[in-house]
Amino acid sequence: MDKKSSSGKRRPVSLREIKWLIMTLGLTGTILLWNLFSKQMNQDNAASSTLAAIPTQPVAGVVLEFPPLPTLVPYLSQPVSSVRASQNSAPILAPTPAPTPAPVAQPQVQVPARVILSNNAPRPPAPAPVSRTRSSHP
Amino acid sequence: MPPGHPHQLRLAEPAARTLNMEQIEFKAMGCKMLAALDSHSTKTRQRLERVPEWFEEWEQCLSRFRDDSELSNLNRSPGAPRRVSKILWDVFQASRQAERASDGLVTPAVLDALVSAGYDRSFDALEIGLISASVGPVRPVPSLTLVEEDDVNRSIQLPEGLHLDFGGVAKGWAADQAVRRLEVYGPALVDASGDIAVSGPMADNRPWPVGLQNPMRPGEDLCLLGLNRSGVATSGKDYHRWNQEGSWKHHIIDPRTGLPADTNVLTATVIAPTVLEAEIAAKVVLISGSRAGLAWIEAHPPLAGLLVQEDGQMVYTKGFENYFWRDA
Repeated sequence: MDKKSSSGKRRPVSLREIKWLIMTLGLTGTILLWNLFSKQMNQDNAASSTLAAIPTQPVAGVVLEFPPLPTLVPYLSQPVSSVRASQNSAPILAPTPAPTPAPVAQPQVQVPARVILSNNAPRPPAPAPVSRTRSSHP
Repeated sequence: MPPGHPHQLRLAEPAARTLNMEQIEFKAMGCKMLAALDSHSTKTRQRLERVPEWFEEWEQCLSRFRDDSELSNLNRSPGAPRRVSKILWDVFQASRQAERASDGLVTPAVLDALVSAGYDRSFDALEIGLISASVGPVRPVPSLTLVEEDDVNRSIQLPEGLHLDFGGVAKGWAADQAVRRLEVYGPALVDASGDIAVSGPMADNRPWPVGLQNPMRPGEDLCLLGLNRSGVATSGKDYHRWNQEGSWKHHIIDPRTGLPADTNVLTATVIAPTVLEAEIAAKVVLISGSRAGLAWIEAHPPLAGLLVQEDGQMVYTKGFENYFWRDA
């Protein structure tokens, strides 16, 4: 008889079981929402980091001024009368005095003629040596 | 020659022809020679062709590489006075002066030291690989004060163990002699394998352009010199080298040790009133080293010197600047 009655008639759900179900569903929902918000916050942080890595572009119309670069000046460590032979490919010639610049004539016409001033006046090429001094050899 | 050392002759390229003057090239004293006359006389060529004959006569007297030369005969007869020609007498006297002026650093009594170092045959023979295999005894070089002479009879008596090699002194003396003989026909230049005598300015009154070869790049010149009446000579250990028992030797003997000079100077070039003086001074610099050598040059005002050190540094005396070529 007990078996028959139990199979034909369902047992009523107790209040205690309903409470347990509600607590489980609430806890699960809280965890899901927490994860969702956490992911969203991480995405927001990553986006702001990317933005921070992009250099700020100068504002149009603003001229950026930098200090001048230092100029390298060769230091002449050896006296004039001492040079390195192995690096000297061009023969040494006596220094020629700098050409005196010609006085600039005042233009006589309304449109001034173009005057080209040059510090490097063409020099006649040095003659080829007639002979060479060197340590004697056969 | 040292491995990789360029061995090429760079003697008076067509520059003389460019300057429209007569020149002659020939071989004498084991070296290439050149003589040039800045004259347009019809006899210029004929006069230049006599220069090789002069050198042949001098070489027959002064060469230690010819068995039948007068010098070889003198070297073979120690202990007895031997009458010599005026040529040998004059060069011997010049050598005495060189020894005195250089405090003994330049002397012809180096022959035995040269042979001991392996320079026992002409350089032509050394060039083809006939290298001396043995090392002779090394000792300081004796002085010419041991040599007796009689200027009345023009005789010389060498002591035992002293033999002569006039070397560069003979070459410089010959260049001076040749240019003195040529200058009566016009401005002349004689190049005895780098020892160059110049009689005076060229016909157009300009100095003779003479290159100074870079010992580290033989195809290039270190500078261009303008020479009037003077002589220029370069002494160096860059060409005359040979290998003896695994070590490289050169022909500039330091008489104090009897060994090839061991200094920091690779080549020394000196300009002097004559080639003979320039040759002597250049050897003094090479044997003394750069510091002492340049001080020696500065102490003898007519001289001007430029040297290239083993490390490639080039140093010259103040007076040398006067000889750098100046554009007109």
